[in-house]
Amino acid sequence: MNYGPLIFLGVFFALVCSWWALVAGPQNQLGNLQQTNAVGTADVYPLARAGQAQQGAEVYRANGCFYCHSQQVRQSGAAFDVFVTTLDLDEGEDPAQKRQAVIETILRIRRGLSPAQAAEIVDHAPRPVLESVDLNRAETAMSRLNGAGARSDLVLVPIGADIERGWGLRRSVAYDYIFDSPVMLGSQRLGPDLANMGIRVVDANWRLLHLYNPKIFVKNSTMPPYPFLFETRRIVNQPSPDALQLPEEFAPPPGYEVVPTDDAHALVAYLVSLRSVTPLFEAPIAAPPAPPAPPADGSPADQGEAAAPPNNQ
Amino acid sequence: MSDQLSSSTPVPATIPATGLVPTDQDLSCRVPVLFLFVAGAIWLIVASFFGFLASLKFHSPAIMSESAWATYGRIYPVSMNSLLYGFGIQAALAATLWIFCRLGQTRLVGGGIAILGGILLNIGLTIGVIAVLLGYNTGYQWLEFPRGAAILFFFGYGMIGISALLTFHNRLERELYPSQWFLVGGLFWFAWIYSSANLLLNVFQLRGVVQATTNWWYMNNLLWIYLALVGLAVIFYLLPKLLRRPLYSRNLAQFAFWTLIFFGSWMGIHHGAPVPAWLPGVSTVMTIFLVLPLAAIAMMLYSTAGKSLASFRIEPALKFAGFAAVAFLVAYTLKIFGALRPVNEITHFTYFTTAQNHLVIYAFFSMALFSAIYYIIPHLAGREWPSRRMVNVHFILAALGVLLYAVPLLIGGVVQGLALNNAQVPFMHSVSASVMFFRLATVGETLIVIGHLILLMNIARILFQCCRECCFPAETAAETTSQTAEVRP
Repeated sequence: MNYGPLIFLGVFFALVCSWWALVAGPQNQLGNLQQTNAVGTADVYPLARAGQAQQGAEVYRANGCFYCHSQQVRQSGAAFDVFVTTLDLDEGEDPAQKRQAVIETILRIRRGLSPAQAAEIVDHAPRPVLESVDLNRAETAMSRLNGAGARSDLVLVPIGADIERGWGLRRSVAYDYIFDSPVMLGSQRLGPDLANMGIRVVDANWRLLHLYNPKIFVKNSTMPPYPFLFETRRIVNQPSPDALQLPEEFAPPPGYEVVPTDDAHALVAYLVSLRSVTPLFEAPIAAPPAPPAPPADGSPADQGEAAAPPNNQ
Repeated sequence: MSDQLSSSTPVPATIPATGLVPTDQDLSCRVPVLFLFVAGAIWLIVASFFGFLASLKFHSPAIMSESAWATYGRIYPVSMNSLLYGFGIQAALAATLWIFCRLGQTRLVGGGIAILGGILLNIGLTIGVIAVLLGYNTGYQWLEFPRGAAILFFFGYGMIGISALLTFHNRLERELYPSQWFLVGGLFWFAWIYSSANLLLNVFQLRGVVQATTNWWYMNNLLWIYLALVGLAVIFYLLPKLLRRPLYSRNLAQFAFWTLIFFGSWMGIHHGAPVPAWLPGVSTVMTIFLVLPLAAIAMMLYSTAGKSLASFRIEPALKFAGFAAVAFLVAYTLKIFGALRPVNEITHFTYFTTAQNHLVIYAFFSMALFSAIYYIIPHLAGREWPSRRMVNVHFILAALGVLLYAVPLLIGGVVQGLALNNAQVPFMHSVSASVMFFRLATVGETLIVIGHLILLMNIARILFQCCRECCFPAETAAETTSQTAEVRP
């Protein structure tokens, strides 16, 4: 290796390989994503941000919020719930007999359930027979239920610490970002993930106060306060309706009020616009089969057997 | 090869008293190299100042919160950019120019262009930093500079690069030493990744999540490849030189060079990212292949230096180079472990990544470049460091500081990650669990900052003495002969 041009060509080739794989590759696959349809509805997803929220994204970028907050929900896998929807009655069959057969099957699938509880699952269908089990077990249970003469339904439940924390309902996917520029995924979680800030905190006043001084709500917060997004001014005639309702220890001196600037309003509008909970083909969130009985808010780690079936309707 | 090493330091026969007489090659590159080193050291202070301020904000977030420019999200990128581009790139270019002159046995070609490039580069950096402070951050990590600043910076880099390549082309010693492969590779590597990433993110903008993958690709190639190429070049040059032993195995060096750039450049995409699963998959596999260059380099370093570890106490420059070599092995081993999926799921989004980055930037790259500064500047100034003790003090502060910074953050990152991944633990616990570790890291950072001040002071003193000698030769002659008792070969 005593020739400069040889080194040049070798290095160039190495870099082109990695560029082709990690820059051109994703660009070919994801660079031209268009809006898509949500699963189960006719909604188009995602929608471009409204003007004020778009301005808020600029405030978010300029102040480097993304150095401490990520915007990507991670999902470690999926679990499945099995529901009994109805009894599958052919003509001339005896409902009572079928019901008994299904109850017995449920008792075999899920040991430790009393016959009364199993009967309740059938009578108040749709109710979950199994919660948060792996696909194999769920499919076995379904074929047994179907064999016994019940119609059953499979519901996919995304799992992972982020989802349990309520930071999202499903993992983030490439579709969630097609209208963002720059895409600020973040690389640190010194603050909580914000991918679904829009559905987590609904109170706009909370958000403004939290930006003004996070310590109002979280005593040992490490988030910096952003007083420069607000204006502390003398009350001229009567207090502005927009002024912050501050607790006493954080309040400005008497005769003064704290009013959010346009930037603060825009940033809040941006935070409200952060939501990625639409079920998509590559990131499904199946809704429970029918209006009643959403799956209980129990911990998915728990295999479901121990928990009593939800009967708080 | 060992011939070449010994021949590249001509022993001055006529003036044994000072020991260090700038050669013709040294004189030709003196001004640009010193300019870049001094400017780099000043940017290091800027980086430390903002980094320290950013780190204080974790302990009391309300400090200076009234000023928009001083908010964490603005000073943190300023500190990273000053460190990476202000110090890293400039010091790397200075070392490149000098090593090309030395190993090529030639005078610097286009010194004027290099100085002009250096000025342009610093103007670009200054504009970029001010723009980020004013809120004109592009939103891409480590590419925060807006277009204009990035263009100036890149042209400055290009001009210095042209001077370096012309010098390389004009070399009289045609045989190449491994350091030269690494440096030539590095020169092109940075130019390509920086221009390509900037074009795709700031000019012909990619859409959606592809922006993020391109940004990760850039960050990975800057941190784990470019810095490694330059740092290793310096270590491969200085370690044998200071130990007076030949570098072990040119073939292993060749193997390490190609495997590092072929496999290492594919890393950087983490698990759980909102991208198709093949991307993190491929990235992880390539990270595991990094074992190959790592093993080769470990073997080279051990065979070159392992048996003479005792002499690490003698030369200050050698201590820095030795520390950097060990830090390289540690950082890259951690990188491989950190990429494995079960580990990555815990450590991603935590201080662990911060600690990893700083292991590469401070413990490996900066220490290697400090070694180069402490080795090269005496050759350019024609005199020894005025106070060897202060050089040692800098080493102790830097080494202790880096350890105190990186080790607590590595542990703190794992603690934080375990808390984050357990939904039963409230989020604030993951913050408070890592606060103690972060305090230690701030102590480490303080030591690093003091070390940087001492570095700048050392450079200022040697240059001041050098200038004084040039202007008033008679006055200083007596002092000089009595001060430099030790004669360097």
